[in-house]
Amino acid sequence: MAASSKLSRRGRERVSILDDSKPASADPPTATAKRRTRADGGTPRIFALLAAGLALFIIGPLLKLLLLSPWSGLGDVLGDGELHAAILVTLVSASTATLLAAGLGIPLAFLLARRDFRGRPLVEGMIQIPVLIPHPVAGIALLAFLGRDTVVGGALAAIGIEVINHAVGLVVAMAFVATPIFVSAAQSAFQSIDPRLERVARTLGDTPWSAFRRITLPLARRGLAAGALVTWARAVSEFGAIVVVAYHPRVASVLIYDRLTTDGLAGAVPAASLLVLVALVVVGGLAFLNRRTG
Amino acid sequence: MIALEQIAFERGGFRLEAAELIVPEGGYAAVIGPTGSGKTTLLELIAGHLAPARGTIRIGSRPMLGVPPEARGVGMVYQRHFLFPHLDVRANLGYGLRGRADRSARVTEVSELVEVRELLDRSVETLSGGERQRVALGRALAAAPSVLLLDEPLASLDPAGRRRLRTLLRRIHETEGTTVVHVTHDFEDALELAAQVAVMVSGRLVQQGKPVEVFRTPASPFVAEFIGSGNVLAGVVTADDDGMARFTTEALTLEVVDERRGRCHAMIRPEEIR
Repeated sequence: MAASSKLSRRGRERVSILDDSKPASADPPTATAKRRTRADGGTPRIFALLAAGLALFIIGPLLKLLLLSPWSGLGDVLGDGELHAAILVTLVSASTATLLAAGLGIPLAFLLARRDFRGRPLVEGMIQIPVLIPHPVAGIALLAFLGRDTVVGGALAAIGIEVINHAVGLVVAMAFVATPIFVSAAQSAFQSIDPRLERVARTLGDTPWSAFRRITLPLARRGLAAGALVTWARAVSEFGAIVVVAYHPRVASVLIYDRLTTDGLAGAVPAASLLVLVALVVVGGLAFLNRRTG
Repeated sequence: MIALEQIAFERGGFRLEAAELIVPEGGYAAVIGPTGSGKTTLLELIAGHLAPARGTIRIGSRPMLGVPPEARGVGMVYQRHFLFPHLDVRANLGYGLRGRADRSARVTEVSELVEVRELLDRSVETLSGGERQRVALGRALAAAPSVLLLDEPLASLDPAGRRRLRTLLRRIHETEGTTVVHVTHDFEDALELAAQVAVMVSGRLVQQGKPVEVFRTPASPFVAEFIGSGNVLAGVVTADDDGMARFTTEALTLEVVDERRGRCHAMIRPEEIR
């Protein structure tokens, strides 16, 4: 429809005078100012007090353990063949369990991060159960599933794979309790990557697998590495499931427990201190990864 | 050529229905509409990232049912560029050229086309918004796709960046001859670049035509307001005793030349006021 009447336009021109002088706030903030800005959010003082209390609660016992350790007798500890063997078994088993967790956990974590399938919340919940139950219970569950008298355990034994009280059992117990940690970390890492990056890669000729390998995996690598490190540390520190599934060969945590029950605190402290040092290495590794990411 | 026929897609309560959209070989189509109207979904259906519940999509003469994105010969540029952050500009541009003997030469050629030659060895993290978008465009063009899908590529740029990329898009379309579907919420992009416009509202293509046609004869008050055709007034057209028609609103009465009577909307274009 066309309007045929004539309309007049009225209005006043408005002139804005722009001040082109540089505003004072345009100066780049100094390092001191930045620090001050970070603290200017208004943190209640009670938080600092409570945080200090918690830090003391965590650090205190560990520090005391390290101070109790007879470091003057470090040579004795380093020359302890039984401890050497236990640490070696622990490191190899934990590393194998971590590889297993990563190998099976990455596909599951990616599916959970990308696919909205029926029953996903159930799968997400179930996968976390090993972390939520007492670890001896996890060990009992594994025993019930993989014991020699069970279908699976019997089938494995038939092809020469012994689980209970063998190194395989150690790896299985460690992987069972530590894999959920890896899956959570990997899922978060994948969720932090925009799926449209993968879609762009697909339009550039990638199959789903090559888009995953060339884009998703490299971008998630730090999150995956951090997850693997925590998973490995969890496997190293496992005790409850291991004593049920594979008391022998003895891992460090079982050896320390043995020595505590037979020789008391003095017998357990040196080996326990070594495990705390391993944990410190892990913390250092995580800090390094975070710094690289940040 | 791209042809969409009777497409239906539904997800999370949102329904998209595209009765027909045909972009001829080498054509430049703009799909405009407000945020959430389904424009990006339409592009992702064409690219093969989403599968329609029914209908057919053809690129060239090939039906795309079951054809994965990597086999469709489409290039896609999103509003937020989505450059691969772990690769430098050169690797981003050459991403789709893996295994090709002319990869290096093609990367150089495309870098000149999108005016990023001097940035080839830079990390994409250090680029400005306009530079990133030009690299994303070059990356999509490098493998010479038959169809280029643009999802609001100008939306996040400053005015100077928009002008530069618009000019670049026009030149690339003229020289490369790629069929383009350009999603935008800015009708100015359509007016300047496209030969045809499709207006999408709430998951439906409500109007199609040449940009000027859509601008001059919008199909509904919503389309008129959205594309900024002019001031849209609601009122009533009545006939005078002398046979003249009058359009009356609460605020004014205008004499009009029109056969219709009753409730309607009238559009007043500022450039036609004398």
